[in-house]
Amino acid sequence: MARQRKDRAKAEIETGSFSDISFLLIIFFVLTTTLSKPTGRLVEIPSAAPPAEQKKDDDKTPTLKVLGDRVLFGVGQSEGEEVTLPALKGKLSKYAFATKPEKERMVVVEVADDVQWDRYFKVVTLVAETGGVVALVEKEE
Amino acid sequence: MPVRRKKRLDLVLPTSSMGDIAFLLIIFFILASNFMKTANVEAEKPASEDVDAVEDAQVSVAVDASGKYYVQGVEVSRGEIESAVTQAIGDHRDKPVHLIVDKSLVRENYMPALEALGSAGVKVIFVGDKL
Repeated sequence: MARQRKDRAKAEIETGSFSDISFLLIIFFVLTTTLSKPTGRLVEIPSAAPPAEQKKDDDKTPTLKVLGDRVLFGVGQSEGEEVTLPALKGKLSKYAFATKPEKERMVVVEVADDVQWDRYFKVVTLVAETGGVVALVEKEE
Repeated sequence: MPVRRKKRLDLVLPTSSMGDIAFLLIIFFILASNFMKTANVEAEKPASEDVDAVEDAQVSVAVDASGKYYVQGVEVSRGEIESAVTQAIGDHRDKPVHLIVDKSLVRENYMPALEALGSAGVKVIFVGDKL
């Protein structure tokens, strides 16, 4: 007697919803993705440094001298004292630049010839962080 | 008695929608991409604690490790920086200019770029990494 095989049910993977799932995944990733953002600091640079005569009279302008690894902090024409960057941040924060007009937010930054951009960058971004406006000092010829 | 082979199930994955998905992805990436204008400039970025995420650059000025100046990825001379920036930024003067400088450069290399940007009267973002 011939054996009768049972009819097996057809096994099929339902794929009709795959595209819907894919779309949902795309939408999820589009909404949750954060593309890499550049990092930096907006630094206000006035078009010209305050003229020498003005600087003489204005003895309240904070002045920074960046010399190699050292930073000197002074006011007006004073020679200045050596400070660390955290200490400098504390001193500049006391000026509360955010509440002042642009002219009173000037911080004169003098930089020696051998100062690398990495060092200058740290000082200038710190000044900008406290709300100061960086006044560039042109080299005397 | 002849041996009967089992009938194999035909499993077919419908792939006709894959093309649509791929196109959607391509369109998304085209719209979301902002191509780096300074990709050809070799400059090692400085780092500071006082940096945050900033908006993308419309105009970028770069100074590479050998002290060459670039505006929008095109090499310019020291004297041409200001005019090239002014031309590149056009009427969008409220948009900041990204300044990328190699961290090992000294004053004589970066100061001309700063002075030019100051003279151009544009907002400047100093680009660097977060410490």
